[in-house]
Amino acid sequence: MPEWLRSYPQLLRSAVQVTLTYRGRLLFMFAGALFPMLLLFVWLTVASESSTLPGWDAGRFVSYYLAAVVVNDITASEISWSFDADLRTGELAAKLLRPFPVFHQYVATEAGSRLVTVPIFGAVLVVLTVAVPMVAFPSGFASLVAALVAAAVAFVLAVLMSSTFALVGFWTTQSGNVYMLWWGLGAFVSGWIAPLALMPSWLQHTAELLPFRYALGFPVELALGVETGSAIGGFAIAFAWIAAFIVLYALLWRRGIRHFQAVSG
Amino acid sequence: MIGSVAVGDRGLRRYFGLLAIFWRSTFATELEYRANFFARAAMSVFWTVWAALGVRVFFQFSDSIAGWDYGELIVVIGMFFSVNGLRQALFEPNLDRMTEYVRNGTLDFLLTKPVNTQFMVSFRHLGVYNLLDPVLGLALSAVGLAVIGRRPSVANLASFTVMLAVAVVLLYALTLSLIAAAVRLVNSDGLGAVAFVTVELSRFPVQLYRNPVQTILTIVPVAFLTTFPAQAMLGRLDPWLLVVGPAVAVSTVGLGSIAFRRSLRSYAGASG
Repeated sequence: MPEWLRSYPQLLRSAVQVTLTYRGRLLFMFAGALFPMLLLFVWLTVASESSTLPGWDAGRFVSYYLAAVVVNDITASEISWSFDADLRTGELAAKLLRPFPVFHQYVATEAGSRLVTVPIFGAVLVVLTVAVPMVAFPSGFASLVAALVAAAVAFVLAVLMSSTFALVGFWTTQSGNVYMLWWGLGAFVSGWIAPLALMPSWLQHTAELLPFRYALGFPVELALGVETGSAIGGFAIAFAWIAAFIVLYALLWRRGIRHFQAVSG
Repeated sequence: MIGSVAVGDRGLRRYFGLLAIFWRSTFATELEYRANFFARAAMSVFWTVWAALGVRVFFQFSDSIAGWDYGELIVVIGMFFSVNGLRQALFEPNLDRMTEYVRNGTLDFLLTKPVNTQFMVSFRHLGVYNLLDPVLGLALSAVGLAVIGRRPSVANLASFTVMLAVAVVLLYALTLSLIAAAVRLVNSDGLGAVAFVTVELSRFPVQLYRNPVQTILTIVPVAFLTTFPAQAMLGRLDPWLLVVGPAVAVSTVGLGSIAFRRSLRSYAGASG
């Protein structure tokens, strides 16, 4: 077992502590749940007025967006922003000195904050599913397990994407913004603006090949049983993107770190 | 004596002079980072276009949602960017600093200045980068009007101006109450989120939400931020609101001001 893997539990513990200390930041995290709820309300109005939404009644929209809030909490990664800040303050130099790969320092921070927020969001989702008849995930046990696995895969893919875009910071101080652009473009094909099943079919096929859906919509679709395309094919594409981002990260890191001159004071 | 500075004619001119000095100094600091300005401008343009294309998705299944067609919705979204940009430019930088003022004892120092404290904590800083957003937002609203092929009359523009002013004053009242809360809470990092969420709720016209949400958003005056100014521009505003709006705006600022003064009375100082 490599040295860094053994220190992971400790890093996670300290990340949990930090999350619990800065509760103001937590409030912002919960505010992040608001935007999908706004989209949900609009879709409910659309569904109530239009009869051309095949199979999408109010209950399905509510279930979709509630689950999307949970997955979004899992995958909304802040690594691009913190890396950018660490470059400017010189904190990155300190991180480089620790006997622990920089990548895993950021991932542990992210994972630690999820250990606080995901149980909260998850519990709300479970309670609503049990208590409100409208909220239902009727896809069956196997699909629910697949959805949980897909949510874990989504976390891995999201931190890899965010970390890779963070490295843009070696060349420009805009890595946070560049990642937001990437996310914004992806919002059309990730299942954020609309469930992919409601998009035109050419956009669905494009979405199945791009990474964004596997960092948001895919687990939700599995839980609801409304996935476009095959589930196994979806996992294959998700893993292909994970591999691609690992390679890209390694390449950028090797070039960027040579470019890096520490800022300190 | 806090808040007892006479704001007569000379006083008012003095405060405009101070505002000019505050904003000039913010500009001078921020213009050091010109590359940043262009990056932020590019981002603003991107998100404006993004929002306009995003709502297009809702119209796949019908031509109008809750009585709003695509062009009209674009007018509201333009209004959202204007109002949100004004929040970020005028109010957010000051609200963000309030927590520091209270924790570090800077507020003690501000209280001793021969200037109205409420004025000082409300308007000292300016989000220079966000000044472009209101312009972009108005441009987007104009595009929306062009899509429907409607040209607003002079009366429409006049009532729009009134309703936009009401929106900005309401936002100020909200900011002021949050500033007052920051004085009392001392450790209050999340207050900015309240203002953010309130304005974010106004991204779509309130009619797009069904009841009870729609009624709640009309009473908690979210509808005043974008829906009513857009309706004024489109000539669909209930004229009654031209009276109600200013009255609501003035009374909420009054309440905010009272809340701020009372919070100062409970403030015990932080330096030592």
